[in-house]
Amino acid sequence: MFYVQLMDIAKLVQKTLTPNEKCIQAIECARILDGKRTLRYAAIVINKQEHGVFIFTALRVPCLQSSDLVLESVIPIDGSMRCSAEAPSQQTELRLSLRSPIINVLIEMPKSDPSTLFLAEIKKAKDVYSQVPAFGEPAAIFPWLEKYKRQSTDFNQSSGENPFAEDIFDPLKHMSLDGTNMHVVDTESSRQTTWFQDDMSSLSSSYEHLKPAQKSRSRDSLDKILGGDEDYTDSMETLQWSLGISSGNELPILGKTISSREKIVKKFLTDRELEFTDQHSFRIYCGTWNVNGQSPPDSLHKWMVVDAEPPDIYVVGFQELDLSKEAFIFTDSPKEVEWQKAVKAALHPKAKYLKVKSIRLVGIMLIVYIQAKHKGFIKFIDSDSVPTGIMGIMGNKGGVSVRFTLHNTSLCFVTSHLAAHQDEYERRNQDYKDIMSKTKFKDFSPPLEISEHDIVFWIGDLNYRIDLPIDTVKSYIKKGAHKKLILEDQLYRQLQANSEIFRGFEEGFPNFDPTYKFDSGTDNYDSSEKNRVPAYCDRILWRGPGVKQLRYDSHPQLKISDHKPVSSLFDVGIRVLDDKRFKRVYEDIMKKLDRLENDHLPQIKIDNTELIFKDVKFVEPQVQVVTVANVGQIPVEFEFINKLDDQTYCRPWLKATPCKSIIEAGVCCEVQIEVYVDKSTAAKLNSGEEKLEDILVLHLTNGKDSFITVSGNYMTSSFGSSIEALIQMHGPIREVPVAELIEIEQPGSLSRVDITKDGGRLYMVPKEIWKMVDFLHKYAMNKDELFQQPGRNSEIQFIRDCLDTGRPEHIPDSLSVHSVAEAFLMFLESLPQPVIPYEFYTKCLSTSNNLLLSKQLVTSLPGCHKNTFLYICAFLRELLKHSDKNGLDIKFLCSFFGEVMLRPQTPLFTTASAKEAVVKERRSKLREEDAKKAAFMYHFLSNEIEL
Amino acid sequence: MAKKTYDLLFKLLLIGDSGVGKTCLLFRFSDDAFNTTFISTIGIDFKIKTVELGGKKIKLQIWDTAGQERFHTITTSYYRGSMGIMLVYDITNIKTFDNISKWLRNIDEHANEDVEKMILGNKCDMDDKRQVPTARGEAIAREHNIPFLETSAKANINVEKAFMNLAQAILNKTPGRVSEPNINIGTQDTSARRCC
Ligand SMILES: Nc1nc2c(ncn2[C@@H]2O[C@H](COP(=O)(O)OP(=O)(O)O)[C@@H](O)[C@H]2O)c(=O)[nH]1
Ligand SMILES: [Mg+2]
Repeated sequence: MFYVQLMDIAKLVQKTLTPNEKCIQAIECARILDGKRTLRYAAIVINKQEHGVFIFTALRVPCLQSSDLVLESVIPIDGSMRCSAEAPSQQTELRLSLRSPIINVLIEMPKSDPSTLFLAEIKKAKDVYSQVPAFGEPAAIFPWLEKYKRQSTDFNQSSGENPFAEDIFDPLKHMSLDGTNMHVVDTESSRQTTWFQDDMSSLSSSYEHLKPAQKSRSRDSLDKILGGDEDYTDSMETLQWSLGISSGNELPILGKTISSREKIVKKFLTDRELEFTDQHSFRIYCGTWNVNGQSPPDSLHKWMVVDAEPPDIYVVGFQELDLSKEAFIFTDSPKEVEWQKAVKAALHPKAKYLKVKSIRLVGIMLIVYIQAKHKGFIKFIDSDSVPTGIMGIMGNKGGVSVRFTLHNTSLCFVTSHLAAHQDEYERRNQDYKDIMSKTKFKDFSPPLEISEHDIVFWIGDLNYRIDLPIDTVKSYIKKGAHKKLILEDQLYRQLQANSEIFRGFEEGFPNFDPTYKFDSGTDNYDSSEKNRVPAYCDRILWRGPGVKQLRYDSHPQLKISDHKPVSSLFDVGIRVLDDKRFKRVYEDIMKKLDRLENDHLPQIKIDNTELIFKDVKFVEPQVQVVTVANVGQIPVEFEFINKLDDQTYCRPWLKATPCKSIIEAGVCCEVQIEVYVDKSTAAKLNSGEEKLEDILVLHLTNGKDSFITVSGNYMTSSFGSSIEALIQMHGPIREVPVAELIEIEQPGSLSRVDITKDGGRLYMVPKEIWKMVDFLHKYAMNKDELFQQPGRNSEIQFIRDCLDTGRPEHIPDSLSVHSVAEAFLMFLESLPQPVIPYEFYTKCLSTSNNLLLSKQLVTSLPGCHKNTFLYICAFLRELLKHSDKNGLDIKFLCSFFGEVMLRPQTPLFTTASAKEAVVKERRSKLREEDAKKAAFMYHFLSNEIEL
Repeated sequence: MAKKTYDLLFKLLLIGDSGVGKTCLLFRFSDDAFNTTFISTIGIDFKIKTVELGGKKIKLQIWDTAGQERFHTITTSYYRGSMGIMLVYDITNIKTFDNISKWLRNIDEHANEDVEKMILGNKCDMDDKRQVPTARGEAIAREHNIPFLETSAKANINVEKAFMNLAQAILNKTPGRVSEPNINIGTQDTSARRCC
């Protein structure tokens, strides 16, 4: 195998695409179909965030232009796509299996970097699919792929080749339906499969051409019916088979999944079949003959034309057609050619016939013809053969079958040659059972069996004998006492006893002499040494309703064989569809199913979709409960999903618990919606940059989205206000009008303050800091565990209100020092710009080992930050003076306050994984940075610094 | 009478001011019923309906959106991927008609370029309360080259026609099956196949 330059193929593929689609990779590979490997190109194509795998065949190799590529299959990389790869170590190729509900593709490619890359891209595409926001679901339908699917040869072959695939409904009563959850629409599969192909539509008999010629080679049928050309050989194919290549038009692997909806349609239609079908009478001729390896006589008319009116269908079975050794080994038989011609020539002259199918297993052959006028009403033609000869594999004994659907009735014809010899009837019974159970019409998925047909005809040399002494038999024959003979017939007795052999089958009374065994060319029973007992070896049986036998005869005039041919004519009731009535029923069913599907969509009721949170305060959570009731008929899965381009489902101050859950039908789920403003979100709410407003999107898997509007007002707080703004406020923050607050939070607002004016006075440090430090200075100097014991929430909230409202003016001494200490730290941490502003952070770290540089840095800070920094340092030095009582040491305070006052700007993470990566990377740096921060602080806590 | 349950899936979207009758139109089309109680849609909901057009079974998945102003930004994210958009106003409410151009701009900004559109003047059963003359509806439709119909979900006027016309327009654009015969590689160039 040689591999064309990969880039070139990708470029060629690109040329077949529309401008908004891009081929990200293309690779040469081999597609494996029916065990054969054929050259393909696989490409990954992206449109926005949706990916698809495209498989191309090549018109020539190497491909030189885009028109050399023919699109074969398209597989959307969506939730239903399954992909598995295996790379057996002893092989140089790796195998990739791609499965969608519609199609399976198995490809092989070399173990190479491009291949690995290709796999990685598919994996990535799958991930992308699962991450794409759920908006638009359940219609993730890859609309842009539709045009390609229609172009692809797979699509066209599977639904376009069968000339009978049109316009006749087949109820498929034999298709096994999952009776279990018939009433539940499988929304999952109906969502994922965007264009169902009817499983039956792919049953084109042309599939037969692709199978190796294990059995008969005279497949013909459909093409012939189509073209009116009844020549039964197909030299082109024969040539191809002998070269060991397939005909190139590989069909998709059958066995697609059918949506439940389709199964239900079929079930409903089957149930109502009588409403839209009428029974029409059809004539079926059946003939069977063990020809003992002879060539046909001049004419078969005597056997095959038994009535003035032409039958609608001819079913002709042969046994021992070819007794030559070659017949076992080679698939071609000159005898077959002769007999096919003879049968064709003996068809009723009053009608024009087309061959439906013929199939041969060594010497057993079945030929089926139908009147040309019925051509448009026959479909799903399939055949199978089961050998039961020596060791159960040789084809000298066994059975072959042809099935099809005529109008709305399924028909199956079997001809068999069962085990010989008088005493071997158990063996014959076993052969019957084997044929019955092993015959599988594999165009169907699951394969169809004989027993699943409306009507079955079973003809052939069944070889059952008469258990009477030869003299008795012969004397009865002489007297024409056929009844006495049949009473002792091994098959008749079993049919009478309703045994498991040929159960349900019927046979007419054979009012003719036993058809076996004659001296060839005569009407004399066996005169050889073996002196065989005459028997009714050759029989015609049927099973199913509406079958009336008109004739059942043997034809002793035809003497070439040791058997006499047998024939029978039947009147068979076929269910014929009435278009108008069918349409009505079909539309009615569609309507019902639409309703069923709509009723089975997830349905919920939400008791409150507008939540208003009043007077939300800093670090004081407010919770409201929303009740989500599942009022539908199926369990629903809900999830709050991101809207638009957001990275999270809601603003950072909002939370829904649970944010994802499953609710059983008829059950409610309480979702807690919590608003909580903390140090990370306070600043923007204070400055008016953000409002307490958000919309939650509650998404139901495969269902609707509901919007929950959250709004509220935030009580501005000194916590989360900037140092710049705080030093401009003379009174408590709550007394500052909102407009002014927004104004003083603007960058550069300080420079606009006219200090000469009344009210233009600026504080050195925020008075809130001063109030807290003052309190700690008064009451905490001698307290143990300062900054280590947590404060009380209620007290912290009280301190917040005290600072924000100015009531009481000072922090009451009744409060715990630990609460004040924690509020103090929280205050520093909530500052939109830390005490050492972000822009100085890295500089600080780099100067930390140098006192002079550190001092210079502090000098260069904005005035209010410098003041605040030095104020806090002075306070900390005071604390250290009392370290004997409060147990604080300089090392602890350095690292602790280094952390609080020196903060790096947290980057805005676009995804959780990016955040994780940054955090990881930071962790290693962290120790180093922490040490530097502490070192920086040390300069200012160890000595009183003169700046 | 094809055998498939459906051949194609079309996703349609209903947009327009709150209260113009989007939900009622959908309900009329899918369930052939009308309900006078007004429960405003708070979110995005859909229903399915299978129809037959040009011998093809087409499954319509019709999305109904919340019309309120505050949801406009959010609902635009649902435009993407819809193949047809039904833009509805209320002939008894001139404001809903005046907003049509705003909705059209929204479509231009957020929907697929090749989306099929249709303008519906709903509640045409209330001729006595009419504020928007039919001619005005026709004019704006002509100006934007978009099909137009006056409908009534209540009196079942033109509802089926509206949805079917929109589906037909999408179908007309859907590329048909390629009719060229399949090329048999095996007979043309066997070497191409045997190289692997
Ligand atoms: N007279 C009349 N009323 C209608 C019609 N369609 C809807 N309505 C009424 O208009 C109101 C709003 O309808 P709805 O479908 O919920 O509007 P939506 O917000 O656009 O989904 C309801 O009270 C309906 O009963 C109509 O064709 N004729
Ligand atoms: Mg609505």
